[in-house]
Amino acid sequence: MATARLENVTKRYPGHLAVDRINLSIEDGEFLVLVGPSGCGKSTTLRMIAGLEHVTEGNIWVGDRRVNDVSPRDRDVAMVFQNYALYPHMNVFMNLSYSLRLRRVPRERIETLVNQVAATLDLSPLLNRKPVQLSGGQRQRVALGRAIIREPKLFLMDEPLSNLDAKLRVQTRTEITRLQRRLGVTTVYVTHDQSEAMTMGSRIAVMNDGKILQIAVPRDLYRNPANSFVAEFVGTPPMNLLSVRLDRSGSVDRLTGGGVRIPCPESAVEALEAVGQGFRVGFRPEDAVISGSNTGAGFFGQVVAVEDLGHEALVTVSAGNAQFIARLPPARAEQIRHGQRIAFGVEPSKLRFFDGRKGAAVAFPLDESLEPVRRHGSCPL
Amino acid sequence: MLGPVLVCIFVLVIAPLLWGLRISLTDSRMIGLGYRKGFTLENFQTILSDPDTWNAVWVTIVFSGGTVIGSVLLGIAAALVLDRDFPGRGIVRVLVILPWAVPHVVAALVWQWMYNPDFGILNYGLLLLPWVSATPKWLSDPQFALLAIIIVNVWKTYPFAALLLLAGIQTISDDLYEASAIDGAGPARRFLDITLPGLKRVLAIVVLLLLIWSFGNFVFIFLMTQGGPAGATNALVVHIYFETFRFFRAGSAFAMGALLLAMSIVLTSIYIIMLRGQDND
Amino acid sequence: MTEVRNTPIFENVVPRISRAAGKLAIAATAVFLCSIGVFPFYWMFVTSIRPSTEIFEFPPRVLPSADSVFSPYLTLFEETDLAQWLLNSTGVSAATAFFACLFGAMAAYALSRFRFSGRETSQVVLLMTQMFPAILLALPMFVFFSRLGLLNSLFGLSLAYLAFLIPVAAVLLKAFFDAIPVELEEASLIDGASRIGTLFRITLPLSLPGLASTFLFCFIISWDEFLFARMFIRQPDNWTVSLGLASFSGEFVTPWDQVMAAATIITLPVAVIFLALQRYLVRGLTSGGVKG
Ligand SMILES: Nc1ncnc2c1ncn2[C@@H]1O[C@H](COP(=O)(O)OP(=O)(O)OP(=O)(O)O)[C@@H](O)[C@H]1O
Ligand SMILES: [Mg+2]
Repeated sequence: MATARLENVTKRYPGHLAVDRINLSIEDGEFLVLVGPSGCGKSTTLRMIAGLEHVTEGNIWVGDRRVNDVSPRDRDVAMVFQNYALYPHMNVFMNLSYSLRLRRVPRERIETLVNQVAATLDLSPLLNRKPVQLSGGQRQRVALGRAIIREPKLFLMDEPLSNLDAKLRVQTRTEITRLQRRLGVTTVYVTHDQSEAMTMGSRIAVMNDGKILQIAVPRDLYRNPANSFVAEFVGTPPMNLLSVRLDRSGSVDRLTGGGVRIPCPESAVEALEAVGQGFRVGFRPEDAVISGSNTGAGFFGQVVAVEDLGHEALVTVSAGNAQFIARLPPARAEQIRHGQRIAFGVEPSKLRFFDGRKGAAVAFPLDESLEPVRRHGSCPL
Repeated sequence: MLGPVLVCIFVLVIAPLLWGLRISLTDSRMIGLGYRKGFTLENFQTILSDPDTWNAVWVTIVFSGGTVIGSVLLGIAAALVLDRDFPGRGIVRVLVILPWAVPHVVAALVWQWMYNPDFGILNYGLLLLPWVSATPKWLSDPQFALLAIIIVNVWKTYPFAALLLLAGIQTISDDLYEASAIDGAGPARRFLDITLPGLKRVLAIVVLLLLIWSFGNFVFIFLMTQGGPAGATNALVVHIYFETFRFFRAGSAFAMGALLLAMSIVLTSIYIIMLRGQDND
Repeated sequence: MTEVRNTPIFENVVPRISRAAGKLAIAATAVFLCSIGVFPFYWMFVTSIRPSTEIFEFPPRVLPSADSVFSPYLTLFEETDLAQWLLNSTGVSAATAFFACLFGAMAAYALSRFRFSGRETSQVVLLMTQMFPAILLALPMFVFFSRLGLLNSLFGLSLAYLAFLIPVAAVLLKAFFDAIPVELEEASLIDGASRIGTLFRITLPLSLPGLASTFLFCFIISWDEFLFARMFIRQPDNWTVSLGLASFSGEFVTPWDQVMAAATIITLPVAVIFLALQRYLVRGLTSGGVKG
């Protein structure tokens, strides 16, 4: 068990900056997820921690040892690869025991450990099979077993679930988190799937373009994205975003843009004035309020799509040049018809603002008193 | 790790090639013996004005072209047969490949024996045909010698073409055939519209490799006809060999080598460009 | 619309006829190809066991003679140096194949695993070197080797073969190494093995089939080679099987029974190896590796 720390770590390939001065501190026993779109440098980061890639600049610490120049075999980390990388010429027993045999662990001890791990992962009947004779899920478990048998300081996992079918993937997610919690091994887990990240991670680092954009617990990431990229990356459907200007000419301060007008929360005005003219406003689909009349904070729009997913319904509303998605309970969506003209509002406290150029979130004091009365259920449609 | 190997290759392959080019620009006679004039284009003037050279180039082209045509036609036929599913396909496959497995010298001698004008089995077979009354003297007849050698070379190389083309045919998706059958295409149309276009790239690679190999083929001609009769099979490779070891004109032999080198560099470059293109797909 | 009514008849009859014709054509082609493949071998063997009195007869007997003899085989070993030639060829081919695999594997591993500038160029050079007509190499080498005193020696011959077999082996083996995922080696490094340990525990065991096939392929090529041998080796003691066999045909009256007997002996081992390798060879060929 150990902590790990990345300090201004940079990886430069010839003509390409893959990882750009990232700082990351991984706590003892935590499950940290690195998430980001394809090619953003997640694997590269993980491989630098493992020692498979050289660090161009910066430092990596495992525990209190600087490991920049330590070879992978001496870092005491274990890694689960996306394609499992099981040794095809060895059976499951030999695969599981490979690292122990290299460390000259006594024969009886190896047997005990392998049997323990095999029991944990349901692999006991398969010990004599070669990897080709295993199903995808079984291979995945052998790969996990090979990592946990060593009791390493760090687990590194690079998209270990992406080769499984959807159902098995969800099932294995919980198995991995349970296993990790039981063993308490510090884990860095890479995925490009934000829902996997949100369900598994105790903390999540969102990466894009070689940089870490935000490190936070899932709830924070969802509620208070540090910038518009994170806002759009996390959540399905993503946060609704619209480029607006602050219009103070009327009696009420409004946000206008793309043909819509939204009342602006008073507490945010000062911060927004400071940013200047170009910024974006965003809100989560479930924070949209649909009502028949334009009372309260809102504007009119036309329904262009209603998708009933059973446990929830997504209503797409077009207003001006923009489109928004609202998430509703299915019962309420039943009354909404395609083409219908409806009023569309957002609770002001749920609005988030992002700098138009840099994308960074604009901080403002949340004024709880502004929160309007929830009208769910009493809406006259 | 690569370094020493590349050095080896340079010393063993590239240096000799360059040195050969150098010799082609001297008046060297006995191969390996000294030369007086440092640089001269005389050799090139000599060989380019020598009808024997042009004959050798022509023979090389006919030999290679004939091999390619024969090999590809037989190869396509064999590939189409092997693509079918029928009992005994494995055995047919082995028997088709058999000629490729035989050493060149063995092939040369066996065919020489079969071509024997007086006791050969081939002429005996021909005479069994009702409309044949006279048989050719094959290797000693200027009209037939080149054809005879092309036949041997086709026999030896077509299995290679067949296997590559078969691999190519098997990558063509069955859906295409089914779609075109539903559209009402018969077997011939399907071959022309789907199989051939699908094989374009493999076919090009086969043609280039066969050309390149036929350019350099020495054994058959050397053992079966020595370039004769009357120069009828005197391909460049054999011509170069005899220029060097029989007529002691190393300078002009190397000049012809340069000619051959130029021809193969062109073909090889096309081949490599095609191969790279394939990798990038 | 009225003609449409007639089509069912055609639909049934025409395809059936054409399908039968197709089958017949396929069968005929298969038979033709098999016979041209087999007949020369058949003829080679039948000639080799024919009493020498029957060889120069016309019309020739297509079937094996009633009193077949195996004496040509004995004569070969008693009166010619065939045994010596077989020994020479085995030695040269094995040594050449071994070193071609060794050096080829080094180059192939580097090309497959490391990204470095000049990698592409090296690959093209490797491909190029196999494509030149052998004589372009043989002539200058002949001169070099005569100065170095390497003519007439099997060692020199082997060295010359290496010139074109190392690139062949490198290209073939690269395809094999490419097929071994890098992650296996990385996993082994993380599991605690050294680079050398990984090479011996993971990479080599996995590339063993590739190495074996490449070895055998280089063996066949050396066994088959004629031009270099003909130019480099003069003394009959040092002849390879190709040279020995070819030497028969220059004689005044060719002893065809002995020639065919020798041909049979020489063909047998390599034909067996070749047929065992053929599936893998097609793969190698498409990856651009193999000389035919
Ligand atoms: N060996 C290399 N040489 C040059 N560029 C590389 C190399 N390896 C990776 N890259 C580049 O570095 C960037 C980050 O790659 P990385 O593999 O870390 O992405 P990733 O976030 O893991 O993406 P994915 O989700 O697709 O696996 C990519 O743009 C990639 O093209
Ligand atoms: Mg990755």
